[in-house]
Amino acid sequence: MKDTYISALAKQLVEKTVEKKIAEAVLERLSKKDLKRLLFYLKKELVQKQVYVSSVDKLDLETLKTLQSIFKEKEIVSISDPDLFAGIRIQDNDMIYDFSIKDKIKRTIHSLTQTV
Amino acid sequence: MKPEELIQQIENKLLTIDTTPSVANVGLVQNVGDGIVQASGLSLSGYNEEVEFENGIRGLVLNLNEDSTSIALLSNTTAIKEGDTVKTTGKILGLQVSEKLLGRVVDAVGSPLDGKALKAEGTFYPLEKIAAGVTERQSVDTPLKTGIKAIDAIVPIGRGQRELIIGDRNTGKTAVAIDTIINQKKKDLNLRQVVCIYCAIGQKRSNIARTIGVLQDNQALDYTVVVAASSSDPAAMQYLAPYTATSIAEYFMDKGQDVLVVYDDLSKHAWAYRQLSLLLRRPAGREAYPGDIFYVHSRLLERSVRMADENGGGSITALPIIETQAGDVSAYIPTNVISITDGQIYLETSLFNSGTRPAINVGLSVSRVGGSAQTKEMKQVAGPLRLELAQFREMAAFAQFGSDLDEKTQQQIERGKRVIEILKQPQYQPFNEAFEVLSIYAASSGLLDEVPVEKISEFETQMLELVNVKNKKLVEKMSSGDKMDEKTLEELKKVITQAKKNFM
Repeated sequence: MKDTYISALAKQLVEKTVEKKIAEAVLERLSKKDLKRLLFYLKKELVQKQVYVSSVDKLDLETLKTLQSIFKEKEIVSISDPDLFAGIRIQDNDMIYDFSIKDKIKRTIHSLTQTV
Repeated sequence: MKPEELIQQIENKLLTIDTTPSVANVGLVQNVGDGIVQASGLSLSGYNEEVEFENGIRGLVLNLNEDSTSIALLSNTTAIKEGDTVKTTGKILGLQVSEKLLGRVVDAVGSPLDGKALKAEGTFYPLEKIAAGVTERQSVDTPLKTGIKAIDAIVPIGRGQRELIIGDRNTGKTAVAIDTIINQKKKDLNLRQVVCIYCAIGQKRSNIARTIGVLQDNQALDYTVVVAASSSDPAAMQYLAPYTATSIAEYFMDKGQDVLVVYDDLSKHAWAYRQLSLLLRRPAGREAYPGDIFYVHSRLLERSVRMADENGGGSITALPIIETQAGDVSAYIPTNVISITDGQIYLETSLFNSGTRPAINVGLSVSRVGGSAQTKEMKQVAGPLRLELAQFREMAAFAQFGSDLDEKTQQQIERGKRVIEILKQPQYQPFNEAFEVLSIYAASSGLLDEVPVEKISEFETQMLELVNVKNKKLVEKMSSGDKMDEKTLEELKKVITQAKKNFM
């Protein structure tokens, strides 16, 4: 199947405009190679509709509200990541805004190695 | 400001840590193969932008597709796998250039290859730069002495010129370039010191090591920078190496210095770019080279200029080398580079095998702008030399008839043989202007007609020794580059006749 068709199908599936039965029938007919591509486009579509926010603890309501007001029309997905030490890390599509201590430590080490 | 305060300020500045949140545009590796990575995301990446993988490996964005980005890796690595993240850096590829690079061997991104630490800490120079405009330049009028008689007399090179060295394998192309670098050690004709850059592209590491050894042995490395991308380096590095060499050259040129860059060789550079282009699935054209292969070389060589005095007056002279296959100069890359450059030095296998070294075919070699950079005295002796050689070429076919020829023709053939003989020169022994003029004058004026052809080289050595010891004033006079007057010519004749007497 052509790449453009698969990408259109992924869009339709994400927007939930396709009936479940039809979707299942289409998926049955797809080859493994096409399914792999569909998976790639589905993930891509989802990533565009969601914002992933990583933090050590669960996000409080106020932070969530603030984030929602910044990323309108996008779903905020909260991820727990103890590796961050503190702070949050926001991934919106292919942009990453890092406010975590982990990133700061990483950059401090880099800055010091560059100076010395 | 007191020095203590200054030190404190610098220390504070160095120790300040950036605490602003980091913003990165990232992508995910989709597939890796043959030094090319396809990555999704990276929506903000630009063409020719440097990107960084999570383990610090660097790459160069070469294709921007609808859903993905093609990245050429700048190191040989197996550490990248599907799903790895890659982020944009917002930087275009470039390097820090300073005087500290002199005497060093670096790779295409400016990292040292000679095992010593290097902190260039100079000015940032991007690898790709638009060449100087027409009004910023001036015409070529200063000679760049190669120290090779045949080149300085027949195909002279000027500072800011691009002269192609072309020939089959094992014809002495690199030797000509290395001799030219070695010759820059002496400040002949009271000209400015030339900074040299030797750029090795796609060569065997053993060859590069040998060349560096030769430069070192001849104390030429002190004013030379070697940029090396060997055949085992990634194609991207081989593709970038000449641009790096030119960027380094531009630093010295911007300081008003004269620079010589040797690209050894552009055939292999074209191969590396062809490899990259095919792997990037760009359409293949003639001989499978991509459509922009001409532009790749023309934009590189256009950066060799002679700047106007108000712009610093520096220059970059380029000596690109092209290796032909079975003497075929009409192949794609040779014709491209011939048309880009301001002339070519054509080296022939048959001449090389017959003992004519450097194996320059003086009939096919040309210099389109170098004539105006030749000194007056060289012009004075090069004119008759060209005539003698042209006549000899015409008559050479009849040489086999021997005694059946009339006396004049025989004499022309004999003189031609001596001229050819005097143009021979051992490797790594560049001549200065005065000795070049003396030797050429001796042969073309007919003063060597009585010396046997096979003894010309021996006689030349003795004659130059004699002049160097007994006629220092004459050598000094000839080192000025001014036109020789009747008196000087008489003196020259006298010296040559004396040397001949001693020799015979």
